Amino acid sequence: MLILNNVSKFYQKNAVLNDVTYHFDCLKYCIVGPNGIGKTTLLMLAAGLEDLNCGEIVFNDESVYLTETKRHLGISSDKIKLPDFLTAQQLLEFHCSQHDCPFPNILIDRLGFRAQLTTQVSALSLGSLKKASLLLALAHQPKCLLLDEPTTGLDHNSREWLLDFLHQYQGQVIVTSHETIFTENAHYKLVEFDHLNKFSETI
Amino acid sequence: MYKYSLVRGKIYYHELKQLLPSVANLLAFLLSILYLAISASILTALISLSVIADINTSIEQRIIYQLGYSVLLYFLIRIQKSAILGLNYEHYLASLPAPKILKHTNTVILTVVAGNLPLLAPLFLLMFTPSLSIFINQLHFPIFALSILIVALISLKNKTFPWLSFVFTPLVFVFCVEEGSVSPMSINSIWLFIMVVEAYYEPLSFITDKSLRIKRYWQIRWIAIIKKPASILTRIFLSGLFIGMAAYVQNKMGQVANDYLQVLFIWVLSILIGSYQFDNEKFYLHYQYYLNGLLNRAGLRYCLDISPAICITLISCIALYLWLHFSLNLIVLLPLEVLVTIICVSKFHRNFFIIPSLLSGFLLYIQ
Repeated sequence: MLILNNVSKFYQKNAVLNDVTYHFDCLKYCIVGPNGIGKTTLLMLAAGLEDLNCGEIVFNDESVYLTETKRHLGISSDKIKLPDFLTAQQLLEFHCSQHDCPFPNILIDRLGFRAQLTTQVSALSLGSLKKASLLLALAHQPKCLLLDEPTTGLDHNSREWLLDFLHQYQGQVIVTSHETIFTENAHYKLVEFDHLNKFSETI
Repeated sequence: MYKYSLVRGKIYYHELKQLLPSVANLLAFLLSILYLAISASILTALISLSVIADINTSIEQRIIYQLGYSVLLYFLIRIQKSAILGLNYEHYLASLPAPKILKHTNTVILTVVAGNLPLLAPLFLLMFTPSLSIFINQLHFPIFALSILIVALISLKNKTFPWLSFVFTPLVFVFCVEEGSVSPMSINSIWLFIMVVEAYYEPLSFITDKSLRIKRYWQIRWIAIIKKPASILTRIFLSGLFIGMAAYVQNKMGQVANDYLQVLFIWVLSILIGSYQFDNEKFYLHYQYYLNGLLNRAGLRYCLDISPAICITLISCIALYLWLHFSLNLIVLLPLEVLVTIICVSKFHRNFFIIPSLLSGFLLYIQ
């Protein structure tokens, strides 16, 4: 399980996160909170993509910055700028080669992404870019999925499939979203991240 | 109609302004140290035209000079390709109701501006041909001038490097053609024909990066470099120009540079090549989160990313040894100084040149 211990993150002396502590004990979470409060930064830190200023983040008792731990984490966020000079296929092939996992053909078909595989990432539409980002997060079947606004830009069918997929997902799922399909979903524990950098469990 | 040209001109100017910061640190250094040598270096390419025009030039020398001239022009225009064609605004430009002829005319004008003297000089020289009989006797030069126009076309039109024209053909000429067996006109005609074929058919374009299966990190970096080659091409262009200029001066003076000059030369070259690391640092910053998520080690990535600079360094070392007859003891300093410069770029950014300069100063002192 993911644990944040006294986590602080500053950008040029401005504290985005200040002494945040939280234990994600349940399987599914939906984090809500005002825009710009630091939800995305929290996910980036939880995936080990940004350095901490203070504190520690561990997943199953191992630091998220270790390569072995990263194998068990999957993240999708619009903030992660993907190499836009590659095709989607090349991006996925490289990802699978890194994680030593099979090419995610089934996921690609379910998301209706096959036609876009040979398209360069820079030429993908907003929805297709989101699908590529989701495929990178899901392809290696991580034990913990960190999804930042996962349904933004998705078409109806893909959105329905994703919700169903996440519902049945065996690992931990942490999403940030304002959509009612997550916030009013009984499968997700709703936690609010507030201005005081505290998590409050609303349900 | 006038307004369309104005837009294209403004785009060209704006794009060049965008391009300059990527080499600004290097240019600032070069301008402060070598402001006289830079103007001289541009003239070096033009001086080589006299060797090319001479009908008695040996095949080997002809191939080297013509290839050098063509490659320099190719890089000069290739670096500015996006600015000339307005690629970042292509959809907007396509939406404008300007006639095709106007669009092409603007592209030609901007290409001439971008190619500048190296593009125009061979054509200007043709205008000073004294008579028709001389023109016919020296037909190899008009054909070369024509091939220079094709080089400009290739650098704008083709997506892949012209391997046939710039690698395969010169190698065949140098190693397979005996001196005196083929006339300069025939050589230039065959070369021109191959360039035209490559310009229109791009026979090696089937090797596209889209079909490349990506398994390793270095492949990603390689594609990134191919997609935006301006930075690496600038280094190759300037290094080639610098070495070529020194070779020309040495050749004319009939002397090899002394140790002091060799250390100075290596210092400038190391700053020139090592500053390529700015491109890597920009890449790290742009794809920061994606790269942080990769499972391979950052140290290993760093080593792979500096390999293009190391390659240019090693090729330069060979050129310094074989062509400029530099001492081996001093040549080994080049890779060392390039590595120091690369590390200094990562650590000190704009002040990158201080430590390599102090190192060179120390070497000069102990010489």
